[in-house]
Amino acid sequence: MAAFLLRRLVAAVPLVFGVMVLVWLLLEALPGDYCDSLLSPDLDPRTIPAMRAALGCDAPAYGRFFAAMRGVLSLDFGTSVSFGRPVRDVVLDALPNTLLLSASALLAGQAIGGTAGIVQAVYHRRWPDTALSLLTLAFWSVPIFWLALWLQLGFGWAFATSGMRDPMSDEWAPWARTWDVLVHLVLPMTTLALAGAAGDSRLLRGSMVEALHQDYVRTARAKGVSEPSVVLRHALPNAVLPWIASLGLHLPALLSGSLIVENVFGWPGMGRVMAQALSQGDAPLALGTFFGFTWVVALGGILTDAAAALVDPRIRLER
Amino acid sequence: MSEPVLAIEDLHVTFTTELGPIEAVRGVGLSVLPGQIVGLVGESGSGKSVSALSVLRLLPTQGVRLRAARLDVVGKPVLSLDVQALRQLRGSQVGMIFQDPSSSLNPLVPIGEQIAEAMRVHGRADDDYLAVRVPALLKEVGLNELNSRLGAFPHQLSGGQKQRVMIAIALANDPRLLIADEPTTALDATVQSQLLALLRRLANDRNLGVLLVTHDLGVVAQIADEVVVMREGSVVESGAAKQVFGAPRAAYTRALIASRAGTVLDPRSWPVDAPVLLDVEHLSARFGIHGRLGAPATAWTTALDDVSFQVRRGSTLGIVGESGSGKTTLARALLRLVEPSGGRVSFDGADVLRMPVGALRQLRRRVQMVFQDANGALDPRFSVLDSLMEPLEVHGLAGDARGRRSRAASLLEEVGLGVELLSRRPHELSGGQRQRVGIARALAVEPALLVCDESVSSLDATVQAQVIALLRELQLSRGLTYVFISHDLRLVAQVADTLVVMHGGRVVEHGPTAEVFANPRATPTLRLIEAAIGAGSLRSIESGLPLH
Amino acid sequence: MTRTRALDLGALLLGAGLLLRAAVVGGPRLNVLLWPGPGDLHEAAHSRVACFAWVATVCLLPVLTSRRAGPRLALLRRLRAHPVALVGLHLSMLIVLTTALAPLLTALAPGRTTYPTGLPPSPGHWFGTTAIGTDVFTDTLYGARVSLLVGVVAVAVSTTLGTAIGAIGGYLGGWPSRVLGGFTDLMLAIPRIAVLLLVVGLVPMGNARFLIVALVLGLTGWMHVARTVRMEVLSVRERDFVIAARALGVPEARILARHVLPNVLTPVVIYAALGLGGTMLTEAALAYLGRGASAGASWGSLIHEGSSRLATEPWSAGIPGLCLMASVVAFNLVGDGLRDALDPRLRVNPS
Repeated sequence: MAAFLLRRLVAAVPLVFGVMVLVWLLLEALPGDYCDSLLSPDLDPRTIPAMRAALGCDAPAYGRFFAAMRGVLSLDFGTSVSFGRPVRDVVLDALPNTLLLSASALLAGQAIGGTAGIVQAVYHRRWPDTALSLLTLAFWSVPIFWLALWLQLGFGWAFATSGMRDPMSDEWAPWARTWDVLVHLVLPMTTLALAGAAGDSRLLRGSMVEALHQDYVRTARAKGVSEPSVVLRHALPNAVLPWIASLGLHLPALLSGSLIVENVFGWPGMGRVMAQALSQGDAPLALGTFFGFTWVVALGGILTDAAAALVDPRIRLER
Repeated sequence: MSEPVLAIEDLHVTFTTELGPIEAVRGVGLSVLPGQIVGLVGESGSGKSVSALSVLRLLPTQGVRLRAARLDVVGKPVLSLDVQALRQLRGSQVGMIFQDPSSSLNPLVPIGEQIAEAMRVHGRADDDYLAVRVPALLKEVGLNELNSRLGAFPHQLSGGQKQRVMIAIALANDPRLLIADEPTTALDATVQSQLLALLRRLANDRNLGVLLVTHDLGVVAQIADEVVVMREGSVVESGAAKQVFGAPRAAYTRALIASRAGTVLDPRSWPVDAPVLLDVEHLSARFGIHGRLGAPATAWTTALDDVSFQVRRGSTLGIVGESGSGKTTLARALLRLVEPSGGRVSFDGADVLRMPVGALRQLRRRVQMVFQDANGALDPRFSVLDSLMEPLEVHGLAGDARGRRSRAASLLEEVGLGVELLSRRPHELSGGQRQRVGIARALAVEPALLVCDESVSSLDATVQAQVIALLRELQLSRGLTYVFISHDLRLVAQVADTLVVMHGGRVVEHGPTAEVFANPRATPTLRLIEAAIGAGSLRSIESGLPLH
Repeated sequence: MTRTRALDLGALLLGAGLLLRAAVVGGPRLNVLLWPGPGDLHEAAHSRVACFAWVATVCLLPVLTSRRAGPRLALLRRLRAHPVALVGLHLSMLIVLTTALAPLLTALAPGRTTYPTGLPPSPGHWFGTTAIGTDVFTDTLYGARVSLLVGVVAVAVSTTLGTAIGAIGGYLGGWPSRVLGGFTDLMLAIPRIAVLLLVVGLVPMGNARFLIVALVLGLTGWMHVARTVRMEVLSVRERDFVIAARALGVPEARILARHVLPNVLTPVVIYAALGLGGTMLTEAALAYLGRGASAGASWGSLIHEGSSRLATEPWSAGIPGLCLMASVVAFNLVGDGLRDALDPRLRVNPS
């Protein structure tokens, strides 16, 4: 397993690099020059020449490529003009917050969605299935930011969403900080989880229905296994496999969702940092944040594959 | 006279579908005594599997209605049992095994645990007891060698081994009745006979009543005491096996037997001095097992190894072998649909394997293939007319569109189908009709040689006989040469005058059909003949039935 | 020609004739008839005739599909068997219709801030007005145009691109397949909104903004289609009818076009329908963050404007959001309905 993880980690590096190259190509290919965004009125005019030099704005194409990739390869995107600190520090400060939000929303969403999916599969085509289908359709179709706004209106009085204390500072006692973070976490996490649960439920419903129609389920019933056991111990472990496999595909969507949610609730994660950077015309920070996003997705993919290998002996034994 | 372990009277099963209620089983009755093997035979759609599943109420609960005057299993009325009582019956008093062992075993659980679960669920969870019992069961079903591999997963076993594990699971709690739903259909012929012998032994040793559901009369003939013949939901005939085979009363039973028995040892004359049409010399094919992303192949699998034979014009060469023997690769190589790695194939003097592309197109007109239906030999979006017109269009035959239409119509008539089928899609045709269309399509380009790759294997027995008769007619009327490929020696023997037996990519036997049967030299041949003759032992039971 | 065909043809001719008559008699331009802008209200009288023609044609759809109208309409015909999908279909058609005919439904102009402020939904202003004096009904109707058009263009791009990449990769096999597959996996690792935000935020785009956003949405959304198409092509490639076609001497290009692609299009259609909803949601999220496809009003920006006054004026943000949700629900229902109707693997048979 350790060798497997290491191999995948090493393979992730060219992946992330490839993504950054693609995005850079896209930025270059579009009409308009991203260097012009450095003319934001909020910036200190004296820093502009240095910034332009760092981004390679006045150099020919290959010069700009190298300037951009230098940041990618050395993990150093320079200094953020809006924060006045190195980009790397800003991103690394925000990264744990995004991870916390995404991971907790992922787990909660899986739990809710998974349960709903199992219920739907067991009651296939009967009223619990139809009712839950309508519910999941609603949450699948709702705009996340709109849902966030209503949740904030409805529950914002109980769970504050702004002015979260810095988890790293020493001003308050650890438990006070943790409690503060958790209270602020509730609403954004719930929003993300509800949106994600809808997708999970649909997926698991599909694979559970299929699993329940498999021959080995019929064998289990013929053996005299009780119905709840059949569902939970025979069908579910097999249904979970395609679900886990598709998890890796959902991580980018989850991160996109967290980006939006962070901005609505003011959660200090990478998404909010990126939006702030863009509104300030802070190109290095924006690029650095995007780089961070890509890494999170890549790592998530590796973990998903590891989980799949753990559960399915057919994959495990091939190693 | 002991009590029957299974007694069914007037069973009706109705399915509610989008098209209205469909009665799959209409008034079926049978009984199984302890130690007795009852064969329930019928073709697809006869309702035999549905009947078998009804015994333990394993059919879906939605949209299915079950009623019977009597459905007693070891004395208990199954239809009025509550869920708990039913669960207790299943797996303890009655064991069941199914058709496809690959999908019938949970892929995530080791086999030892799957066998143990059958006992755990019925209250015997004592680990010491299980540690003794599981190996004993495996030994009884002939899987002694797996006792050191109880942690193995199903995908690591062969088909025959998996089916024996299923039997072990079914026997775990010493049931009085075993229901076997097509247990041998997915297995090779030789494994089939071994498994049937095992069932017979178990029935005798344990005084176990067995309900054996199958479409294969040969299976029934091998081990059944009583036979029940079903057709379209009703019982057509039932009685002792000797009597049903020896003096069948119903016309359908007679048709079934006739299509099975065939002409296994009927020597056919073949044109000995006709010119050689197809000459295969030292044909070999190797396929590399590719590594990841573009890495060169490190291991090779040999599909064909030094295969040589000749086919004379107007004759039929039969190629027999079990799955994995290389026969499909051979068929494809003859048409150059796969590239062999060595050897020579000459068709009418021309070297097939080194032909340029232009000449290859010409070859396509002279050598054609008829496929097995199972994998969709007809494009599901094409109507019959479209499928027949395509080869005509591509090769510019039969003049204009009107000419092609009438050619398509006459092709259909030639294979015994009506012109009204031209506008139908494949899913609207029966299996036999689809195969006939496939033959018509192959004939559209006026080939000289027809390669039939398992062309009748997925058809019902009676339909098989009809299609084989059609192939014979066409051979006479059009002067065709055939290469007939199948895993079923009995089928091949009905059409071929020369036989090639393949095993592991090599030719292990080659000669006139009658001679191969009389003096088989290789072991694979022997096994195939046993499997075929075992089925053909029908002939030793029946008497006076006219054979063609 | 059967009586049924004659009836259908007659109805179509009637609709076309009315359209033509309106064009000839009224004299307005055809695009005004079909997609009037806010300044074309004086030609609305003639537009009403066109409106009737359009509605008549659209409502003929159920009529056309209920008879044996031929194999090409079989798709729609099977949809009729699923009531839920039908609801989605009609809702979608309603949305498209109201979007196209917006000026006929409201006499007010979008974006004008001269209306009485802060009115709740009332007879003069069906959806109320905002604190800055805009009419919510009008703005929502015109905002729909942006959201819908962006979605359609983006889905068209992503579907075409995905089908091409998937089909080529699947059919060629070998290293082209692996390279394209790797490229697809690479693109899948990119979080879509992050890229869009980055691109729209960094690059000043001016007039081309709509097209660029739609294009980038399309360029980042083709991967699922490509994966599915590739899988389908790989499996169809092994089917006997493809090998049979080759054995019959049919040229490879013809096999790809006539045999492989048509059998692969089913999941593409399903994905197109389902993808439309998702794309609209993504664009709205971007618009909410101020970086949508249009500098003017779209649903996302409307929600953003109304978000600060959610407690006192719930209709300004609530109604555009509801409309967005309804549209996405409608398209998802159509997509799900198509999948149930067309994908035999998901059918459960009692045999």
